[in-house]
Amino acid sequence: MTMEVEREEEVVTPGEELGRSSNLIPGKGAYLAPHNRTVYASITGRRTLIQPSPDSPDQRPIVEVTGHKAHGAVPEPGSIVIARVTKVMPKVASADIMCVGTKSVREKFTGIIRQQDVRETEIDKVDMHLSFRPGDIVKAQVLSLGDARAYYLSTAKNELGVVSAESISGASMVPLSWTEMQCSVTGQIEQRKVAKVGA
Amino acid sequence: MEIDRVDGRTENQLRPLTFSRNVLNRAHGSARWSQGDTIVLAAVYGPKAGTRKNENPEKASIDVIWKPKTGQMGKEEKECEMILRRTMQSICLLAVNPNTTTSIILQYAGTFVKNSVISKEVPVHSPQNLVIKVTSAALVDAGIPLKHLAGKHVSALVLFVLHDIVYLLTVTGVDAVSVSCGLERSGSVLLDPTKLEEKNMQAFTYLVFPSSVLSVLPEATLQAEVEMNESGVITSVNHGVMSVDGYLQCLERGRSASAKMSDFLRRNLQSRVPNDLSKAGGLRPVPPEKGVFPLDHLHQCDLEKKDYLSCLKTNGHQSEICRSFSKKYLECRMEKNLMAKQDMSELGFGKGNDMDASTKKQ
Repeated sequence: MTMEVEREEEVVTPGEELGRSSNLIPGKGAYLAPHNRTVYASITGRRTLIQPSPDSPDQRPIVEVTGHKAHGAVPEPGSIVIARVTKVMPKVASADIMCVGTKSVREKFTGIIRQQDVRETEIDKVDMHLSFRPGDIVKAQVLSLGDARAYYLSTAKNELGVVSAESISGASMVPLSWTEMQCSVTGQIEQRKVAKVGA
Repeated sequence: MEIDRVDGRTENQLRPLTFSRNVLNRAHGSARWSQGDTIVLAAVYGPKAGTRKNENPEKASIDVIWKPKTGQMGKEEKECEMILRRTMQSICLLAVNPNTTTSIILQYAGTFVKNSVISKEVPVHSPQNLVIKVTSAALVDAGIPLKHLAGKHVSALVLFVLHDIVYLLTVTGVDAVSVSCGLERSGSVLLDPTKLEEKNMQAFTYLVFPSSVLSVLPEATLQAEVEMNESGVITSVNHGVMSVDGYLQCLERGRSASAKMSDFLRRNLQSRVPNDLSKAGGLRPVPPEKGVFPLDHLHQCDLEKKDYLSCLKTNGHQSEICRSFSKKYLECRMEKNLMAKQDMSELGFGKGNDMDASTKKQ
């Protein structure tokens, strides 16, 4: 699905009217005012119109404002994150979120992977210590905002789980199966919830 | 009736304005705004994880810290923090980054004079007039999404008569742009009062207006919308006693006086947007098409590499002369599976170009 990008020369500032919601879909750097159905800019930058693909049901172009500087990435429900496991407990594992999508985070965001969110099947039989270890790099999905302390993360998909791990000897490990990783130096096999390679 | 002012300005004259943003390295966004001797710095950090205590995690939270130049934080600073926080909550798009906190730190850095009565340094001009302007500019610099460019910050000094008593009124409209104006019995307006002029005030109001509607579209904006926007007030905090007429007059004066400052801020923000946004982090960089180029850990092509480097050294780094050596090096890498095998013509080594160093020297 290819999208044609039409670049505009004008620079807009927050609060400037970009168009009507009947003609435009607000994208990044734009918002829809509910009281008058008008799309306004929310950051300072250049206006960009992204034309929809011909087979798209909604033929309205997406208007985006590309700023000189974007704020740091913030996790939101549904987004895929890369996190480093910091603590593993019998029911939960905590992790520090490092990337949201393709963008690294500026501030520290903490995530929690609960026992029931580790895998899709046999969720009651999950052993957290055989799924993650502190220092593991995991690919996870943000389930919800959680509480004030942490976001709830899930690895309950084939493509989610541990993507990089170090063995007890300190060498990097290679995945053997969905549940095993092997140390490249000692050959020792350790249990992990492994993410599908190449996903 | 002409009013003599301490700094020699006329009634309608503002102090000279300067504005710069991205002035601090470690802050995510920063701005510096000065009006005459009054200078305020703002730094924005965030969005950070978690909201303030007892706040809705479904929305973003704004945290404001006002740091005086000297001494401890007092009642005035606390009040300023509260007003600013409430104002910013109505200006920022809080639904965009839920369960996060954006911190705004303000530092007054203006000129002080010694007050002989209380033997304490007091600012020449009130920094409150500048606070919202500099804050919204710093938020823009940090890339925090806003509904408007924090409307107009208008500070008005008004003299009016109520039951034969003369009251002095300051109207401080708080948002991106700030003007102070005063209206006395004769009807003359005093813009941008100093701290010394302000100290006699018995009543004042903080007013925040939404910024004027601008459109990038060729057709004119609907008049009804413009009227709605122009008559709107985001924040109004009153101190002391004032008449309705005086208040309405301040609203009217404030709007007209702040329009120029609104344009000033917009022009400044627009002029600071780089032409090539890909260099500024606005657009994602395109990765190289060739992909990975593994390092020669086992030193399998060291000899060819050394030949090429020595050729460059002897020929004053003229790469054209050493093309044959670079070709040999690339061929070696292909043989040892250190790069993808491909036709040398695709790498710029066509038959016509394939000259060795000796031929080139001749």
